Amino acid sequence: MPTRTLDVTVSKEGELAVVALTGDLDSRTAPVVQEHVGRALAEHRLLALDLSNLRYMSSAGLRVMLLSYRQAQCASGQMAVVGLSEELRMLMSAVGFLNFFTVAEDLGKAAELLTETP
Amino acid sequence: MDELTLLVVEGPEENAAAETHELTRALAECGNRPVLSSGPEVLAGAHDALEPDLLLLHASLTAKEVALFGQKWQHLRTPPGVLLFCGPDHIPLDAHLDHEMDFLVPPFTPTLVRNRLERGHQRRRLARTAAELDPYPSLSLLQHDRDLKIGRQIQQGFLPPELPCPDGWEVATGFEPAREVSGDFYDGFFMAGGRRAAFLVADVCDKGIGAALFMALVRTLLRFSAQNLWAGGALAPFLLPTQQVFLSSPSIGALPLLSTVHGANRYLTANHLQQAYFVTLFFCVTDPDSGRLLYINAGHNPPVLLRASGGHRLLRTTGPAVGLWPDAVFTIASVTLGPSDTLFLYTDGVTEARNAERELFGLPRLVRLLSGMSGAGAGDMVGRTLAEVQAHTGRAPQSDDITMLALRRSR
Repeated sequence: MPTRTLDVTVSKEGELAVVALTGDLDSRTAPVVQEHVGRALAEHRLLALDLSNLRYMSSAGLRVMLLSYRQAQCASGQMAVVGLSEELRMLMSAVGFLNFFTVAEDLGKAAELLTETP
Repeated sequence: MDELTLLVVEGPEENAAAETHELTRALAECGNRPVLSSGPEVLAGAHDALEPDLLLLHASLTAKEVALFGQKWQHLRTPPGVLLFCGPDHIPLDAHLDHEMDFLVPPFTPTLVRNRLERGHQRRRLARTAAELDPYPSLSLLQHDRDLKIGRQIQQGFLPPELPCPDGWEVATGFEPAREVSGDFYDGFFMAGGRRAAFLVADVCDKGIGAALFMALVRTLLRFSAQNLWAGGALAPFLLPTQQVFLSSPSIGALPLLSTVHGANRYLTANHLQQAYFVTLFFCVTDPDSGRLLYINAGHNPPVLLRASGGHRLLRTTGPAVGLWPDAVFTIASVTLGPSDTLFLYTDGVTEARNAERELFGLPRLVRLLSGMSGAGAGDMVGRTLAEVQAHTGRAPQSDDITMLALRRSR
């Protein structure tokens, strides 16, 4: 069985906490992402989930996104998703995610979108 | 006795190599093909592709290693039996005495070894039956394996033993669970005093016991609402979204369909928001006489409608997944199945099945496959699709549930 792996890096871009994912996001790797997102939201109000280097995402990944979104909401924070592939965008659209996620092309745009809204 | 696949694992002790060699030779002499290995090799997964009947482990391996190796093949339909062996001094066996293991001690003559193997093999078959009967899995099972089993029992306990099959229709299902428990399910039941038949296929996000429990909850909510809202319709107005407007008077089945999906969404978002589970589903209510089918596709993979005259249509989403947000709007759409038309419902376990090269089975391939057998019966269609998906996957592990439901109007 090919082992699925995911690298998570957390960085800061101005006011924005950036959680960047490289590899496969599935039920095995999802808890790690959740942990990082939780920690990032404890310190920052604005969060960007950078999926530019994501190779694969299962429904567990969608659940992590939803959970992160709700965590951000609870903490009066805001979240954006950055670097969606066409495939991922279609998946998110079909499941009904695009309607309530802020989607940005890059981190700069994400910061703009998240700070301009009152 | 048939030839057995044997994995012989050497221990770290000084004499272990010689003792292992001696046993291996005896095993070969009584007509087996033993595979020789060492503890680190097994741990590193060097033999993961092997399906051993029996593990022969040197007793100088630790009890923990022995337990780990025993767990490694638990996913097989019949997991291997475990025999410990040692040299003439028997001392390393002491460490394992509390674990009710089977032993093989020298002299390793072909006759004695053959006899012990046979007994080990029988014992293993017995153990398998006992494990299937035992509602409390033994403590030696890793927590994870026990969780898998519990989750699977929950999931499969909520699949209906049979589906309604109106006169002049064929209904067939296929369900192939992944090793890791997921939250797929299908359901079917009569509504409106038998005048309508409802079918649905759903997929709860993520995996594990949580997903299985959520599946049980969603299935119950949907089935209960759909069957009971109908009776008097008294509750229905309360569950309907206020912004929902019918352009003409709603047809039979439309109201309970909409109320059910909407009610489930409202319930889940009111009570289970923090768990962030959601479910994609395709839910349809059919009029068996006219072939008219009302449906809601809540974020689910598009079912394929195959026309008898050739051609197909994909029934795309009419609303978001259920459980995402409280004020979601779901729309009802309708199609009519003519004689010999088929509607094929499935979950992403079909289209996202991957082979060893990680290539997806994919929707285009599914559509091509189904189009090529539009004359086939519902059962055939499900069976052949499953076979094609499994042929595509090959030896790669099945990572998600494969769930299918075919609905064919035969006249």
